[in-house]
Amino acid sequence: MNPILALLHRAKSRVILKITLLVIVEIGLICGSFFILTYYQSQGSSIGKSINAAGKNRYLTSNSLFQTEKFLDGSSNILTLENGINNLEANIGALKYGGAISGANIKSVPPDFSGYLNNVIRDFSAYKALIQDKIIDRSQGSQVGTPETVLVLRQDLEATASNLVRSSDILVTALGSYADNNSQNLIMLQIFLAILNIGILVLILYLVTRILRPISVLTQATREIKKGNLSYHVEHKSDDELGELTDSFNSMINSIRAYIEEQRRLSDELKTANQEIQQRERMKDEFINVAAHEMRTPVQPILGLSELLKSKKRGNEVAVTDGEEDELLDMIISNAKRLLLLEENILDVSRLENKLLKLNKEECDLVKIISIAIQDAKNQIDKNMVELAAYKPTELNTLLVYADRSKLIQVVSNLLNNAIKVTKAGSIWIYLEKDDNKAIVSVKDTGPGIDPSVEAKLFLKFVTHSSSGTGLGLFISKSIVEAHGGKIWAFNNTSGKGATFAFTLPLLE
Amino acid sequence: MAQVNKRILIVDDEKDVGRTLKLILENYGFDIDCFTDSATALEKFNPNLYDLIILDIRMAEINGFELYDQLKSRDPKIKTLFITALNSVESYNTRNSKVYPLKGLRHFMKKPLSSEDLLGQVYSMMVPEEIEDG
Repeated sequence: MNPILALLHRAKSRVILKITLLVIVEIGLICGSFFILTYYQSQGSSIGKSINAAGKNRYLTSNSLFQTEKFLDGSSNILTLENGINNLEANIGALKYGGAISGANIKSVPPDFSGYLNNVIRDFSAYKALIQDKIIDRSQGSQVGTPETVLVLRQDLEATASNLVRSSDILVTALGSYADNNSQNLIMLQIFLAILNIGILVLILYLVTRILRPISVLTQATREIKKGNLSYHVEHKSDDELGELTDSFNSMINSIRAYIEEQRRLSDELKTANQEIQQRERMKDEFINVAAHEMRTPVQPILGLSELLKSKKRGNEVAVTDGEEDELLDMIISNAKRLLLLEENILDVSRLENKLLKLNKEECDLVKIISIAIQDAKNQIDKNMVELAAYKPTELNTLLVYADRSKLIQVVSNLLNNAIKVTKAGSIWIYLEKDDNKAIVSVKDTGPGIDPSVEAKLFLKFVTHSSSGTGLGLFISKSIVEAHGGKIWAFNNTSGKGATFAFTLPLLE
Repeated sequence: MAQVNKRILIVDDEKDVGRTLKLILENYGFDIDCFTDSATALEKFNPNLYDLIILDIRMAEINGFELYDQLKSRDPKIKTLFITALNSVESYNTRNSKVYPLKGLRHFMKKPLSSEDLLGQVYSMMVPEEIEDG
């Protein structure tokens, strides 16, 4: 980049601008001090030259007086006399107007001293006028005067010169005391400027530290964050680039924190999903184990009894009476049916999972459906131990629903079978009720009730707490009921023991 | 049908299974008591009466392992044959029973049992010299 552009670019930086301004102030202060001191010193040296020049008046006056005396004695000429006066006049002129005297440039004395200088000029004018009138004008080719007048003249000359010397001395003394004061003031000024400079420098250092403080705060923050303290927040204090840096830093930390939280959340989700998969795997394993159990169990009577009956048929001595034979054949048939039902259940689950379960809906009567299910169930119970009864309002002779008849029988049978399975001795009641536009079917038993360990997942696949059963029945029942627009639920009876399983179905309008 | 004067207890919560096994064994002259739940079996159990007990494993409330444990404490010399329709008795054991150490499970048969297999196993366990029940 072009160096000038780079400089301009840097000038845009507010931090550099701030520091540059402070540096300029400091430079200005140093330069100012230098100029002030230089001015005072030059003032002091010009007063010194004026003092020299004023002091020189005394010498020049004496010299002029001496030349005049010699001229009056006749041992000197008029030119020398005039020369002495002129030198004196030039010296006084330099004091008044400034100029070069004996190789030194002097300035006019300050106006404060013009009173003293005027006295000198006045005395010089008197002295010069005396010499001009009394000596130079009269000496054009003749004697100045009589010895008496010359004596008087000499006395006058001495008195006038003496005035001039005195007024010159007064000027020297005044200028000298002024120079003394000046030099003392200069020292005071020097001390003052030195203290001021140091003070300003300290102030500038403080301001620079203040400007750069966010850097140390940010450094501290990075240390905290390195330790893992991600909730660390840096306070925004300035509106320059360091303020912007602080904001960026805070937003970066927020982003990092959000990112880490998101990672944690995802990791938790993954963990949960993984646990769910493992749980599902376990349930599947258990299902396979249980399904195998359920398949093998009915095979035992089928196999054992068939072998027995075959043996009898071959004429072997078998402890089975002819009357018992029919009973055993019924057992074989019912176990074969059980096997078939299991196979159907497994297929139903597969169809449900693949959303392939088809319902052949028609107008059907729930009263009849329940009566069929009860008829099937009655074959399975020990009538001496278990009471099975159905209740409905007397006016309710039919209750029509639009449903798949065989699936509804399956649901009711399933609930009844479950009740029979858990009720070794006691009662099973099935209720049919009408509530507005829906039918409610409930199956209540006096068994052990629902185990708390399975309560929450009762209608899920593969969940079973009994010694037989695949854990498919309730899952299938729930799916069938819901496919008909109904609801299914279960609860432990509040009074007495046992549980109630109930479902609703919308009535045919 | 010759009587062998051996008494066997069968506990299986599947009524039809218990009845089938009972019929098969009765046919070979064994005296059989059969119960469909563990609680009744415990109630009716008579120590030193049985030559063999046949227990289903997967039963409600008191499973076969737990029942075995209780019967064994009342009749320490009793011989036991476990029968089960479970595919993996190991997984059932770890999940459902804290009382039965699997390493002691020596007589174990998988349902369905043929008459032949059942009798072979029962006879082998009846040999008096072999005191091997676990």
